[in-house]
Amino acid sequence: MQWQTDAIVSIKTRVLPAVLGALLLLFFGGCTVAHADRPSDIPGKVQIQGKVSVKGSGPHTYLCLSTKSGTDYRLEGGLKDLIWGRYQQEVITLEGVIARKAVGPGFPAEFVVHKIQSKEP
Amino acid sequence: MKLLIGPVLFIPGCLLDFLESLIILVELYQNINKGVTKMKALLKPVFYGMLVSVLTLAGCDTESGNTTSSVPTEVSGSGSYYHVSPSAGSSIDYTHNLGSTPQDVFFIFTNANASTVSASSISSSVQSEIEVPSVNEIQTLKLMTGDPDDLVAWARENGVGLRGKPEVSAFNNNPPTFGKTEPGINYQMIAPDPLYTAVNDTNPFMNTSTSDTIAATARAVVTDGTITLNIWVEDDSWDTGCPKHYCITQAMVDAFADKFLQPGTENDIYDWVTSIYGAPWGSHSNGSLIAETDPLEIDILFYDIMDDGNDPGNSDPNGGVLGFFWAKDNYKTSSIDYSNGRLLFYMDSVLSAKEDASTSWTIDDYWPAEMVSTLAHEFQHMIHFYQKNVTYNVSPETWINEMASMVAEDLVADKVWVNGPRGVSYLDDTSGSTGNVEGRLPLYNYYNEISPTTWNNSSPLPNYAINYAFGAYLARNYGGAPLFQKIVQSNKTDYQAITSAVTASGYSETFTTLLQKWGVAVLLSDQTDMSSGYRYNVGGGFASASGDIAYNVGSINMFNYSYSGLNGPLFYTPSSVSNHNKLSNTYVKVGTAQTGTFTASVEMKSGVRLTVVTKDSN
Repeated sequence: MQWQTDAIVSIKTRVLPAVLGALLLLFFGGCTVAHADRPSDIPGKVQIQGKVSVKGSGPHTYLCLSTKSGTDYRLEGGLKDLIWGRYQQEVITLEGVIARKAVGPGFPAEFVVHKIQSKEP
Repeated sequence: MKLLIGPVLFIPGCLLDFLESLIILVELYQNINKGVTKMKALLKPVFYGMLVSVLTLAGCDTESGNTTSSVPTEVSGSGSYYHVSPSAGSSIDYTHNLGSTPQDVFFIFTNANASTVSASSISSSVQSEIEVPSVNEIQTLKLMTGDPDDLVAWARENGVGLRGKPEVSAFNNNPPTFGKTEPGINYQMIAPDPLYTAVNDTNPFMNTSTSDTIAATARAVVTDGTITLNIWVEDDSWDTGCPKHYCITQAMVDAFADKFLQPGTENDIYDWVTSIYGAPWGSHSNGSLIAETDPLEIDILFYDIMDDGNDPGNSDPNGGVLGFFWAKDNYKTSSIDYSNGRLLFYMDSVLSAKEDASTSWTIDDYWPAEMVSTLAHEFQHMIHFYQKNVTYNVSPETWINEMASMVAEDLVADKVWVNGPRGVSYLDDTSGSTGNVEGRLPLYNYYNEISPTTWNNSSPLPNYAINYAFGAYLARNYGGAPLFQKIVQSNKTDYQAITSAVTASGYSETFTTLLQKWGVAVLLSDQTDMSSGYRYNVGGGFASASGDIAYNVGSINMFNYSYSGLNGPLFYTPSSVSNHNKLSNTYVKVGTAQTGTFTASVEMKSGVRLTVVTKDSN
């Protein structure tokens, strides 16, 4: 029975905190992804929200999404033209993947848009 | 704070203005705190007074009910205007006793929303249809849209100069991979030696890749004691007998060099443009970028941009791409392998060398003069990149950057002896005469309903036009050169760059009120006695100064400009207007030659403001 007692103590002292920690991580992690304006570098879909505009001097222009924190993403992908034509100056949420990191002034990270998640009401 | 909550809660349509006003006041407060103690004591009561006014009046613009009877702001002469700001979704019943002198009545709808909204419906006492182009006619008048190659071809055929180069966007679409910059390390501790170019040096300038090169030779090296200018010419464009329609000669190189840089101060484009916008390069901490050099070197490469000036092979060029700045050259070759690692911009060699018909080449000929203006335009982009992208690590929206370049052309027009985007002789400060088809404003008249804040990459000419029109308005009402210095030397990248600069210049405007007043300035630009904020035309020049340099820009009368047979601005009719573009003005002519009592009922859309303008009918 000793091992059972040890096991129960072990569950209380080690497993439960770990489970709680994992749940908290999932909860806040989920929120972070859902509202991220600085997606992680790990490949995979993320959501970004920000204002759409065209940047650069003509015609070195690119479609850009600028987040509240000031991070710019150059938008690419099949939805680019639609966003370019319709959503300039509007705040929208996009789903997609980061294809390239930012390289320096005037050359932000590249974000390939898979889905226009929502438009700010 | 109760005063704040009330109007905001009950008049949500006014929230935007309230917030903008609050931002202006915060910035004003910061500016006051930067001042000396005595100024603080004087200005703080003013600030608190303004704060109370904003909190009290936020959202309480002129009208919030269903009915208004106007008392228009009279302009001595023959025009008047009246701003009406209804609450969302309200109906305005507008009544105006026009008297016995026949009046034209215009409604300007200013859409303060970031999205396009359907048009406000208008019913008025006007019985007959107003004689302005129909929707179909308007649409057929609009320029072509399509891919950039078509645009370039169209520009060549129609004598239009483009600035910027379509294939350069490929760089932005497919940027190279860079090594990671170590934060906090200042790579500029020791300024490297400049490149020390000498006349007759040769260099293969990299174009779109390391293998796509332009063989060029240095044809002039000029210094004013502080700055060094190197002018390079593509070997295929050099001297009589080159395989191009027009070839660059030494006399041409020397003439362009004289325009850009001369010994002495306040006598060249370098001095005039940097005095407004600041230095094109300097210290920074980004290891991917080229270092600051002492002395500063600027390179200009003349080559046949687009390779469209070959003889035989291409028709006689009459337009096309005049020049461009490409920030990839500001990077080290270790970061971008096809960077030229210089402060460099590009000019079209063939148009630079094109003389007027039946004359020998001079710098005052049409295309060479356009190229002189292009020197100022592209140089502003170079400065903008350093002042905003590098210094603040933020990227401006295209329309802000292009507006600054076109205003640069405007501000230096009478110094470089080029007419510039205004399209009136640089010797003439008045608004010129009717039937003017020159400059950017004829096209603006046809596209005055688009937003200055958006950019159409496949057909950008209307964007250039409206951005010049808006920039010219700002320069003539809110401080000229110093205003645009504040716009560029700022960490703001969008409309806030303008509102912050306007505030810092001592004015209190939101972006919405700027759009509204701009609309009035357009419609009453044939009046020379408008008050500040509504001016395009004072019958002479608008003066400003930056540093020790004085600037002057001429008056503008939009009714002097013609395009495709239509004179003056394009107006919609109540039945032809279908929507209000985001952040834009829509000009609707609701009455022609009206007398007596004019009435109109307007169903307003949320976030849309109405301004009524009346003027003597022609």
